[in-house]
Amino acid sequence: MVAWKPKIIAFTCWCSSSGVDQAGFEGFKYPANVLTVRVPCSAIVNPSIVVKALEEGADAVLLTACKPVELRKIAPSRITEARVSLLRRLLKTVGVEEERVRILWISSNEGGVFANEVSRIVEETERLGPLNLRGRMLEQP
Amino acid sequence: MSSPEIELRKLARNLLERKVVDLVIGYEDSEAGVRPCFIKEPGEVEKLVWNPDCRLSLVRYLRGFKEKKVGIVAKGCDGRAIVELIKENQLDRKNIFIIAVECNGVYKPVKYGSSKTRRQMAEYCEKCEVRVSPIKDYLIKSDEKALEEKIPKGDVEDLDWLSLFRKCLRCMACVRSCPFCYCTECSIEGFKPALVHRLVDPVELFTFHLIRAIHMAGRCVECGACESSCPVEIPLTRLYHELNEWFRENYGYVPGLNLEQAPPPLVFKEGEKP
Amino acid sequence: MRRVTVLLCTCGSTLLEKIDFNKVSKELYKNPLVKKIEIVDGLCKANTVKSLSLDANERIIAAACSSRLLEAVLKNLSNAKVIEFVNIREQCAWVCDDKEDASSKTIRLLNGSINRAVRSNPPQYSDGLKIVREAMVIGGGIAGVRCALDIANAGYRVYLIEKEPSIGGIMAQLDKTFPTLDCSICIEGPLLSEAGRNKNITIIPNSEVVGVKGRVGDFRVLVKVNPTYVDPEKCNGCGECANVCPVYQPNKYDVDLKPVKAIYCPFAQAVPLKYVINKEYCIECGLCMSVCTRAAINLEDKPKMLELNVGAIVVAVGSDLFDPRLKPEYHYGEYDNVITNMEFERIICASGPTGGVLLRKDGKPAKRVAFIQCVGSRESGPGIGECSYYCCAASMKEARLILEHDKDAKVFIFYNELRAFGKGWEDLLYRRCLEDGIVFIRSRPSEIKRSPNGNLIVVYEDTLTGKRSELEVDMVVLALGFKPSENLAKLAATLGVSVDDQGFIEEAHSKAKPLETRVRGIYVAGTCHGPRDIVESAVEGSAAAALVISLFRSGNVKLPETAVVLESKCTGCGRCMPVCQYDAIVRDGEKVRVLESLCNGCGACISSCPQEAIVLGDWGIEQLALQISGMLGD
Repeated sequence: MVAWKPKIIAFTCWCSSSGVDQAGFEGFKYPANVLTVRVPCSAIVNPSIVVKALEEGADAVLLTACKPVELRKIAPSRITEARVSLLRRLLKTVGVEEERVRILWISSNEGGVFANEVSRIVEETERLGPLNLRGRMLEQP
Repeated sequence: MSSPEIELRKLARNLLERKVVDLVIGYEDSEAGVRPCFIKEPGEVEKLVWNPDCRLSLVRYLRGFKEKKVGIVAKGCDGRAIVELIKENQLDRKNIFIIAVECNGVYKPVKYGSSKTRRQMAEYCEKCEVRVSPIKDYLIKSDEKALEEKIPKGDVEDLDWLSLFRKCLRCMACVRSCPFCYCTECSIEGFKPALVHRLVDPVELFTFHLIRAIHMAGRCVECGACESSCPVEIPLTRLYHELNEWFRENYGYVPGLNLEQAPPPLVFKEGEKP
Repeated sequence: MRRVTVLLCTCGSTLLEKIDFNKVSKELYKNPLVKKIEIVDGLCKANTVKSLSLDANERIIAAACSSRLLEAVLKNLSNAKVIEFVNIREQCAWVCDDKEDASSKTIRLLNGSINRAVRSNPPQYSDGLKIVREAMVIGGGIAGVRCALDIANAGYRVYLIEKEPSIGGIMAQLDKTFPTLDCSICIEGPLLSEAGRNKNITIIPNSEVVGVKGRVGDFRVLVKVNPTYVDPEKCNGCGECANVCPVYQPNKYDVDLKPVKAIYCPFAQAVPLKYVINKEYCIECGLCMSVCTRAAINLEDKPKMLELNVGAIVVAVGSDLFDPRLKPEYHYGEYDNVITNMEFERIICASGPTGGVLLRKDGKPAKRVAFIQCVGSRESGPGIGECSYYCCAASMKEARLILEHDKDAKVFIFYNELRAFGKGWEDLLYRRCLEDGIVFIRSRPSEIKRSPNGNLIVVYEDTLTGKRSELEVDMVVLALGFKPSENLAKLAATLGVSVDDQGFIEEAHSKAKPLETRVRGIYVAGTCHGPRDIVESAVEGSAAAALVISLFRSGNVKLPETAVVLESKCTGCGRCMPVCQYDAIVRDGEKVRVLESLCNGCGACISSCPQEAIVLGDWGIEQLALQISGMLGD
């Protein structure tokens, strides 16, 4: 039997997706089960989409965004941060581990940070085990 | 007949006779229990009732009478819903005459076929701190004490939400009864929803309820309309209450308390905790 | 069904050992949405792209290296439209140790993109928007004049809006400039008259901007021209009117120190050199009308409104200086011999009220003079928190001017940190000050007292020795910091640009876009976005001109993808408005509307709308949901 590997969806904003590319340039290695979706800005990610990703079988969802300090006053990633916090509260309430949704600050040159953080998150998700929402929703009482 | 009821009828007659309002939305008795009624003639005011079974929010009907001057019987939560809807640009304060009724909590709905002897107060009413509508044109005071029959403390257990969601029939009763569901195209209903398909795939019930919760966060006034109209008794108000708590903890914001307080932008400022 | 073409790039065969292209291709062909798959060895090569003979209508997914590299290259090589870039090099081949892993990640990413691509619209390369090749510069100080001249010399018309009767700004009021101590108006005067002569520059004095509509390339600016009661077309600046005018008024140009007539010309080098009437002082005696041979005077003059159509706007309105009355410990306005550095500049100037002799109000010469630095800057009090940039150098310059006029004078400078960082400041200012015997005292004086003979006593603690002392002087000059000008916030609101926490105009990005504002097509130069000196203001004027010229030369303006409100769906609940960081969403009746010149396409609004009544390109829930389900599918 093939060992279970978590599936992780990472929404990467335009800038931090450069950071993700940077990880490749610099030769960092990280697990292959992180699938990136490039979006113009992290604030475009609707919390509903994150829920949908969990429903579709993702074991964790990651949002990478620009550091608010780099953006000064105009910081859409602060919105993402608040939405993630709200969503984590919701997930916790309904009995899904809140660690399955996270936000990471990744600048366009932080390939190494991305690779390290993602490896850690994959490990932690492995410890949490599969989310298996489909199975849990289908199981008979 | 209780004295608030007499006062309510007298007021409604007065308002209609003096043409202060075009109609009064209130509750009437029927064989199936208390239901909404729309009083247009002064002669009809004797239909109006007020009792702890007047649980469903009437606020939802206000959007249907946008051009008219409407009197509405409003509990504390209903008043908060009106406040939120005015803030969301959906209602015009000028056109609403709020008959605030001091509320001591409402009964949980009776299951069909069960005996009426033992009545419990609804769970969301126990958390309620707003007995009287924050905005009002007339206040009818209650002459009774709070409902005594409460749910014993031990009964409020942690819920297995996933199995509760599994029971959901997607009948949309929660959406239909909610004062805040006024979107032109509901994102979790309709012919071409992107996230929740009409074919009932049980796993999508999870998405359905979470999306609805996200849309209610920071707006829900916990009137309980959704859960008391739910045929499978999912305690949705408790879910939305958790998200309101998040708003209270992070921004000190409670929806529907006053007209001036704008909902906080969903943004963390520098220095606030993530 | 719309189907897609997938181009798999092997990166000159280097990816072959990392990714199993046959397996990828076999797996992808199982997806019914795939029309064909081409495995190529270098999408960045002109030959490769040509040999593919791609059709312009094909929906193409390019699976290759980082789109940062490829996007620009491909755009030049082919007119085919790539709707999705999948980075299989940096995100698959180069980060996975295992070929199996890299291949399966490639397949997943591609399946997601294929799902998404069939539902997205091909990118629209618009033909560009109309550009009106005329510019507006608001403010005629050194930054604005330099900017207007540079734009005009490139061949474009410039409207120069000035609120005063003459352009020139603060620089025109200064006696000398640092570090070289050369005459300020002698440097600026020729620039002013060049601007006045330039056929491409229309100077509109006595005017202000009161409304702006439109977007980059096509702004409609409403300008209010205040009445001057003298027809500038007829006035030839002969000055006969001022000779007969019986009323005197303080002249703003001379910081109210030297009176002029109620009908006046602010200074000899004014551009335009026209007389104006200050109606606050005019008694309407009509003497001026009787002597004016050209019948230029009209006491019934009314404000006029102009609507100007321009493609770009440069804000160079400058700043005000701090009001020293807000620091009561220095008793400015109360003690006669406490003066501001602007007053000092006029007094020391040969054309000033005393003819260039440093005299006190009581007529005695000032022999001992103290300068107090950082009045209204670098503090948490009523001024601004930042360093005001110019004042260390300015005070050293002024100290040297005193000694140039009077060798026996004694000058003290109370400084906090002496910042002599500009070109020539160290040698020409600081060293010479030390050589000349100017005394530097590191202190922010706590109080100025007055002695019975009219002299001033500065109370201070020397922060280098920790010693408290008092110093008696004839005169104290306060080096005032900058503060945002009074009407800046209103102007910013009119233009739609933002201000920072000090109240200066905020740049789009402090480093990457230092002269752009958050409104595309509106640029900023000079002290209205923070303290600067003359050199830097002039530099920014030229730099802003370069931005305007490059906009005009670019041929067309491409706006980024902006959000659009679907009117039929919008309920006007307003949940999108507070999340917009650019204030681009406004109410429009019962609905909301996106101002496209402000929108930056971040999409915070579309995800706050419960029913997707706002859309932004192909970033809807539907496309993202399809992409995710494609990626996660088995």
